[in-house]
Formats: sequence, C-alpha cells, structure tokens
Amino acid sequence: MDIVSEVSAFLTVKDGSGTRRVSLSGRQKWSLGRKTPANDPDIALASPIVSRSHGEFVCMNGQWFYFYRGSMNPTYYNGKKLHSGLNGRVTPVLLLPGAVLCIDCEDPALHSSNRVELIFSDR
Amino acid sequence: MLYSTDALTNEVLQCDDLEEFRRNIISGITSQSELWKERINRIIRDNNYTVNSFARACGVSRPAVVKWCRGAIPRGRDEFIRIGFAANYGYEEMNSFLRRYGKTSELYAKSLEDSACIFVLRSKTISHTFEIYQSILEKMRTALQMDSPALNPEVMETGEALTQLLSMETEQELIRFVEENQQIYRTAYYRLYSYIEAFLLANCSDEVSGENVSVFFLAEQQEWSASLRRCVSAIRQKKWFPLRRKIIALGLHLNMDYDQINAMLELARMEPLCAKNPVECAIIYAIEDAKLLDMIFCDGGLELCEHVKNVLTELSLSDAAAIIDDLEKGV
Repeated sequence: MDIVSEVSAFLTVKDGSGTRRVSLSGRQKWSLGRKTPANDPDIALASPIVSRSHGEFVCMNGQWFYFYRGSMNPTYYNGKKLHSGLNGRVTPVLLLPGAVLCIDCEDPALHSSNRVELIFSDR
Repeated sequence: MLYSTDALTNEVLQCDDLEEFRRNIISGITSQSELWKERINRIIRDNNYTVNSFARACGVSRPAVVKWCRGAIPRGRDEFIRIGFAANYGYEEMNSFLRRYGKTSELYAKSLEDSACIFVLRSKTISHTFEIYQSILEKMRTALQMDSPALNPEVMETGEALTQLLSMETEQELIRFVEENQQIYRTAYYRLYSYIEAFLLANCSDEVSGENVSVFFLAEQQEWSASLRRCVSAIRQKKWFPLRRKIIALGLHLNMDYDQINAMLELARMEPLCAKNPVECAIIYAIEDAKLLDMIFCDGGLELCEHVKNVLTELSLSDAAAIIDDLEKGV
C-alpha cells in the first residue's frame, strides 16, 4: 500500500488567529485539533469549539482524505454536515481541490466568532 | 406509489420491523424483474427479432435470451451493452438503458471499454454492432502499453476526454488518443480504490498485531465468495471495473453504513442506493435495522452481511439471488 505523500496539497486555515496557509507535503498523516498543554496536533486550530483530536488529513495513493472521527461540534464538508460512522467508525471524506471544511457550533448564538474554515487546494 | 425516492428512503428508515417494511414498502414497489421482462420483450418485438436472431445479435445463447424474456435480469454490465447494441441504441439511449435497467454507471470516457463503446455508438462511418465494438476495443488494448510508467491521474478531466471521444471520426484518431492518454485509463477508478484503502486504514486493524489490514487479508480471513475475492484481487492490481452489486456487497463485507456505501457508489459514478428498487430498498432497511440492533462493528465481523442476507431471504425477492450469492461465504 503506497501511503507516503508525494502529492503537494495545501490548506488555507481561517481560525481565531487569522488566516494562514499550511503545506501538507512530506508525510502521510496530519492530525488536526486544538492545542493544549497535553496535546500538540500537527495542525493546531485556535478555537474553543474544536476538539483536541478533531480529525486527520491522510494521503492515500496520492488522494487526500479527511478522516472525520466525530466531535462535539459539527463539521461541514462543502456545506454538508458530516456524520461519523457507527460505533466509532471513521468516515473518510475525499478532498478535491476547492473543498471547504468548516467547524461550527450548532448554537446560532455562537456562530461565526469561533467558526473555523479549512480550504483544501493542490497548488 | 407516488413517493419521490428520497421520501421513500425516509419511509424505509422509519419502519419498525420486517413485517411493517414488507407491508408498507415492498408490496408497493414494482419488481425490477417485471420491469425488465417488459422492456426486453419490447426490444425484441420492436426490432422484429426472433429469440434466435436476438441471441445471435447479442452473441449469447438462446437459453440466455429465453431467461431474460421470463424476467431474469442479466448479471453483467457487458450483457446490457450487448443488448443495447442489438437494440440499435444510440449513445444517450445506451446510457439511459445502463442506468435504468443495468443499475450501473453510464458510459465513462476514462474506461477503455466504454471509450470504445462511445466511439462506435457515435461514429457515422462504422456499423454499430457488438462485434465491431469488440474489434475496436482489441485494437485499443494493443495500443495501450501497460508497462509504461503511471502518470498524474488528473491529467485530463472526464468531460474533456468525453468531448474528444464524441468528436472523433476515424479509428486512427481514436488509437492516437489512446496512445497519447494511456494514464487516464489506468487511473479511472483511482479514487474509489483509494477510498477503500482509506476506509480500511481508518477502521480495520488486525486484532493481534494492531496493524491495518488489507482488503485482500479480510477477504481471505472471512472466506468471501469467490467472485468477490476476484474483485478484491482486481482492486489490488487496480484493474477493477466495478459493478454496482459488487460495490454494495463489498461495502457490506467491510461493515460500511448507508452513507459510506453511497460514497463508494458516487466514486464509481453511480447513483446512491435506490429505495425504488426492491432489493436495494431491502438493503437500506437491513442496514438501518442492523444499526439499531448494534450490529455494525469495527472488527470486520460478518454480522452485517448475515443480517442483510437474512432480510433478503426472508422477503423472497426474485432479484436478490445474485447479491445473496455475494454475501455467502466462499467454499
């Protein structure tokens, strides 16, 4: 199984700390979550609604996937709410250039201030 | 039944038990077998075929045609293409036929077989027969040098490949296109294969070593049916031409839920599980029921397959034999 990422990909991350671009090259898996003293994810998101271990970006045979593990606050893929699989099963989500992942609150009162947006691109 | 497919799916998901499902849902859906019987008999009648001449036109045996006329649905996509040629379908009609009756994908410009089919169906200079299609396909296979290095799967978009195929007039143009664009045929179902591997990476690991398992390992360990194991072998070699039924069976063996099976179907460019097809409707019900009974596990167990098989058997659906075969253990 070819699982080493040689395929260039990037994330534009918009969170509480502003907007930045992250390169996903050089490794197969990138963890995504909220940084705490005991947790240091590869891509740390500055937002209280993000779980410590929120998900992972994984490259499989040159295709990038987001592994959604379920979380307290919902994640949306191109506007569609993601559902985790049963009994802790992970749902891989194929990422195509331009895909937008959004972590947001169900509670409209908290909307936008803590919202996180991740835009996937291949260049 | 006046439901839209989505509304019907919601009705299925709300059934409390098999009896309610049988009474309220299945009894109202016209059997796919009945629809097929009507269609194949109309094709033969409208084109002035006899059973014998239709069998010759399709390149199949007479008993095969007799079975079709009695409602047996062809198992392979290839048979639908043979019938489509014999019925003198054009490109759009063939697509509609494959989708509606074959429950399979439309002609796909990045598949070698389908490219040949698209070319023949659109050509103004050659006969639209299955034999001609096969002879052109053979020439394309020869032109495709399988040992050259794999290139970027995204070199040409499907829409662009289709536009080029639709505009070709001569065999020479087609062969040149194949030679120059070998990579698009090798990577046609790349995303589907990657999805299957990603699913296994995320969800399936060996109980003892903790290492992720391959789909091949699972197939051997769980003694999947011989035909499904052949699919797995083809997936490993990246040569699988996915059939709808096999994708569904594979998803059930991998303990996928409704959304995950639909994700695989979408990557194979097929419609999601369809509640208006009795067998697929029963599968949707069985998956939902298994979910409520907490039968979908991460450990690669066979409970989901067994449950779906039991529901299909209990309902005695005439079109379910093929998928039940795929859910049986191999010998």
